[in-house]
Amino acid sequence: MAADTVRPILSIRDLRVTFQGGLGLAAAVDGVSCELQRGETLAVVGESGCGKSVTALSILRLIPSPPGRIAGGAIEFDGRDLLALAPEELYAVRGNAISMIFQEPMTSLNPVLSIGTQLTEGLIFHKRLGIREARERTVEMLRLVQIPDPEARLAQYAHQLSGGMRQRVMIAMALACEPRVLIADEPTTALDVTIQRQILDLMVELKERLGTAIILITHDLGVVAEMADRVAVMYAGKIIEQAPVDGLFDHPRHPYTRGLMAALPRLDRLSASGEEGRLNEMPGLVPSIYAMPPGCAFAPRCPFATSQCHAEEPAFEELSPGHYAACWEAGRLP
Amino acid sequence: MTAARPAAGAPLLEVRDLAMHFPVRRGLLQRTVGHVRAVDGISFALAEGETLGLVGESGCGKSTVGGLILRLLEPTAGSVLVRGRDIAHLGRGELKPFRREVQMVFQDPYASLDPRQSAGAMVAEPFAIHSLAARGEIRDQVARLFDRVGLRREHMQRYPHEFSGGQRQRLSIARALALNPRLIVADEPVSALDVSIQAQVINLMTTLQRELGLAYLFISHDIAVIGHISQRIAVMYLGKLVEIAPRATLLAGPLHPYTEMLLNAVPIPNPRLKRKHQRAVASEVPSPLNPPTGCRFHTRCPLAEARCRSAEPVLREVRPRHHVACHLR
Repeated sequence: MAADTVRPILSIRDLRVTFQGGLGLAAAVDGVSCELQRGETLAVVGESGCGKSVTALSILRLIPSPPGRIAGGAIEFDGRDLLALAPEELYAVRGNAISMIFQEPMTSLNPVLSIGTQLTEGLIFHKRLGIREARERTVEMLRLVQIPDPEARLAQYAHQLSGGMRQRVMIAMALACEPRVLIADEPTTALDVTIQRQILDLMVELKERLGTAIILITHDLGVVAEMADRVAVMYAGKIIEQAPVDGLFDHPRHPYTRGLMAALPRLDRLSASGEEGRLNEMPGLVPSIYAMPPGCAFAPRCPFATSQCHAEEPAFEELSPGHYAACWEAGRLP
Repeated sequence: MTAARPAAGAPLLEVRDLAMHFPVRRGLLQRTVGHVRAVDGISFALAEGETLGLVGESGCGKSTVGGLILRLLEPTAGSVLVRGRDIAHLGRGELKPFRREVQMVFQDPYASLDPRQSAGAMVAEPFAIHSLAARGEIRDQVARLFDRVGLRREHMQRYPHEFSGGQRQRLSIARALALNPRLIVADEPVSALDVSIQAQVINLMTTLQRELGLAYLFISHDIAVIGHISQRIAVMYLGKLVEIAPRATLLAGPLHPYTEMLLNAVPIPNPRLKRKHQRAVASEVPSPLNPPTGCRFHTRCPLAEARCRSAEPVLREVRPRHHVACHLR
């Protein structure tokens, strides 16, 4: 992103989110720090349970509590700490300056309210528009996200729409108030690949048009490569690598990131004939958040781990401009 | 219609003009008001030791094809031949020997494993049902299957909830292998797994195929996974096979516009391949309850002509071993 963007639009500092479970208190997010620049797309990538969605939910304080609790850190937006806002102040931000879209649109669309009611609500509440203006603006938004026959949709309910259409409606709803930050949590994971393509293209188009900065939470490295300007890779509640997208794919520095990339079946690298080679396997499993190993959380699965890795947690260091990794061995990897 | 046959040898599995129409019932009297034509006349064959990947999006009928081949469903029309014997209309008792040859693995192993049965007992069950081994030998056989799929022998005492997703899938594979089948129908076997675990299960399936000479019908929506594991690939759209070809041929030179759309839609994990973003044009998959006339893809096809709307294209061999159902190819 442009170098003159001095102040990030959103910055997360040392975020810690804990959950009280049957096995005790555990940190799902453990000291996450990152910044989002104006107009940029930051992808947060990782496997199930790495803490990427919990991080995203924390920004608008949507962590179900109990059992969850934001136990520490700060999330600065527009000079204010979102974690310190009073509830009314927070409502003024949610769906307005920062909005969110989710994997399953049916969890965020209300089944008993018409599409029109749900889409105009935010405009009436945040932008103080009259009903007529709000409806006009809503039709405009639906047209923008390529919903055919938008006027007729206002009277429809979510169940009358296909999955791809619901996702479009949710995006329209999220963008209605022209947010400066959009948090998209696996926005295309539940969709078929041709519909995913349409939604990804739509997000790119809208971003160019509205200049919205996006935090994109995903497990799909293909989506990351296509959408992101910068990438943060999470493992076991921490960001273990962060870099501009080209740098990350050209030269991943953390053994976990490397392992993840080598585990992917690749359409662009299939051998012309005959059998494919074996995919890279990472041995073992992600550790339970209730039983984190000492030192580097990836060490038990890491082919390069030394005794230091099993004992001391590696620092998150800048290895080349803008490229950070938390690995004792990053400088010595083959 | 010609069956798209594998390269050589008598087919282990052959499907001819297979169709499955599910009745849609409405109202108080549950009158049939229409049919969902989930599978609507498809033919293909699968050789010993081969992997055929069956790919398509939700609702295209790929899982129904799997269910028909396993005889979990009885087809509306057509036949399913296993080594030349039609099993499409066999009764329960007559199906038993067939079950030894064709086994299954599903997406969600948790749903297909009995939560109250230990892992060992689950894998032992097929031996007892088919009276294949004396009681004393079963334990040894089960232990060997656990070795084979990379589970530890002490896992035999455990219950499904004590396993991770990847281990549960290993367990369902062990159970599928118990009867020494020739064909495994695997319906989205790695779709619920994280990337690093997905790689383990794919590698395991490839190794087992090499060691045991298994054939797979590998059903998935994920064309990258299908591309990795298959020798041939069949593409389905709205109940029809639209293209079937050897893997490299299909991936490098797809002939059906739908296959091309599917391949172009896959995000590639390489940021240097910046694709030109198209203007996002919304197009919807039509309902299989009322599929379009002519070619079913014509409503979304960028190349559609008048004849595509009226005449249904037939799957034909346009190049050696490359079959496509499109008027324009």
